[in-house]
Amino acid sequence: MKDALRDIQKHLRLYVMLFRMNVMSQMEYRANFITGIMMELGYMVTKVLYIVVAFRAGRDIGGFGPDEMLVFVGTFIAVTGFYAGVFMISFFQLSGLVKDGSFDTIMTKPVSALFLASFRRSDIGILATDFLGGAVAVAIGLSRLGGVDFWTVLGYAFYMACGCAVAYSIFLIPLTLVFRIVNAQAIAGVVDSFWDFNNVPMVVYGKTIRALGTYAIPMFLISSFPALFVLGRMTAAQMIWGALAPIVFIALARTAWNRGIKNYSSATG
Amino acid sequence: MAKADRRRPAGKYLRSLSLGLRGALEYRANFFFSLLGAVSPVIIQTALWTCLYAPDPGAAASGSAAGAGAQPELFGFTYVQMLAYVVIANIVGRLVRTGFEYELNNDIRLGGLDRFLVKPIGYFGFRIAQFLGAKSAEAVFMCAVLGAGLLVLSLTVGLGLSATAVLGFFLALLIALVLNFLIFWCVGLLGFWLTEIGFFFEAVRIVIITASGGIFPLSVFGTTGEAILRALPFRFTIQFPTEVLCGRVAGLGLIQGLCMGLFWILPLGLLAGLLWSSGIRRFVAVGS
Repeated sequence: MKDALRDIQKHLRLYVMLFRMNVMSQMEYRANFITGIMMELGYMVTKVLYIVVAFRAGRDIGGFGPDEMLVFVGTFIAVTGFYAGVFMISFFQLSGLVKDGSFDTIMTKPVSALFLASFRRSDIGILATDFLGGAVAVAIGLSRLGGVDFWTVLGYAFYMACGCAVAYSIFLIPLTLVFRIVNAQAIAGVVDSFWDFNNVPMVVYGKTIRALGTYAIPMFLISSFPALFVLGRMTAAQMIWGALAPIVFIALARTAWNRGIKNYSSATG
Repeated sequence: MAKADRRRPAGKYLRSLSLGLRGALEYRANFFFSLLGAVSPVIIQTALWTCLYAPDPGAAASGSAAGAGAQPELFGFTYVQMLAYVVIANIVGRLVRTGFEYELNNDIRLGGLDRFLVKPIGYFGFRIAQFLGAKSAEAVFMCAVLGAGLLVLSLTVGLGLSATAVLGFFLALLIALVLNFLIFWCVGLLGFWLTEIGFFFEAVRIVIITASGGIFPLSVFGTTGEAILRALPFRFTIQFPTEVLCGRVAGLGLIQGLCMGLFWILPLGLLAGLLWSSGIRRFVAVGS
């Protein structure tokens, strides 16, 4: 137990150092920083388009009005900040590292290879842009709906954290195929396209997709569950599954990684 | 073989085309996964539009005409047209999508372009041949997917297709490929002036896809927004071919659209030439 805690501390310290290094590097190459923000603003516009369509069509979407849609899309934008700013860049680079054998250097470091492969690169510009944009949208939506109390905000934050953990796991599992097929750039692309399922509330989809997106590939836990909680529309079963799913899927992702890494054969070796 | 290439100048471009084709098929699993990526936007948008076109339960219960009629049109599209638009626009968006701008930028930034300047092959011709080669592999599969999608739409929601629409679509698609190549060629050439590109190409790509009608039809932007976007060349890369196949543009509108699309090739080609000639004067092959 003591060793585990020390290990967690070591990785946390390392993460702070990696994060600081990434911020310094972004400040050195400012074009990356600025164009990263431009890119996220572009993506944000495409997400907001879904609200615009709902507003202009003058219809509720699956029983949710425009203000509730704002909470859904705002939550989705904020969680996207975590996905794109914290681990997406590292995941997208994984295929290249395996292809040219640079993954060797990660394997030989005295820290977890999974940790380095996941959190080596981060982008503060993307993280801040999405998080702020999403938070503003959620705040506007909630204030127009009459506001919420402290405990609801706390519960919302809890399900957001659970959503982030689930997002990390379900994006990692298919990427472990990279050790078998080497060029997994498109897998990252497919997984990335699944991310957009949260552009609209889960109630929009049919029963089969809803069940698949809740239990098999729990996409809807990422941003629909926190939004449902803060809007007071979450069922008891969803509350329990929303809290349990991160444990189940992190364990699955870890197993998939450990199995996948056994297939790694260095391109240089 | 090299002798044959010297005798037939087109031979070297055919070889570049074949290189592009082989490059696309080198990692086949990757290629098929990239096709799979086109499915999720279709599912998401179909679900959204099905929800928006569904009869309003409140109005239906009160027995009003609006409830019974269930909004036959939204943004100028019937439900069937909108579903067809979603499927076709996503496939067309994938077909015309480029990616060479990153390689072009690398060639400029790292100095790899100097190799092409001394070779007996035009860099523009080499890139367009490679682009078309890579696209030809994708086009075969995407056309099969499109055919299957259209068959499903005609069987489930009664979408009709005419031979003129199919022919017009392929002509519009060819123009779209050339236009999109030229647009991103111009964007890529900005590498002569920008030393760091970062996510710039991705940011531009999102804006262009949105302005092309690749996410939603341009009519969702309102009258003014749509009028502005219709005056730009981008709609000819996705929205126009899509509307032709949906049967929303036919007859004189189709001929006018094809002529307008062809017309846009001229200013974009001139812009590309201008950017290349002024950019190449700045090129110093730093990395080579």
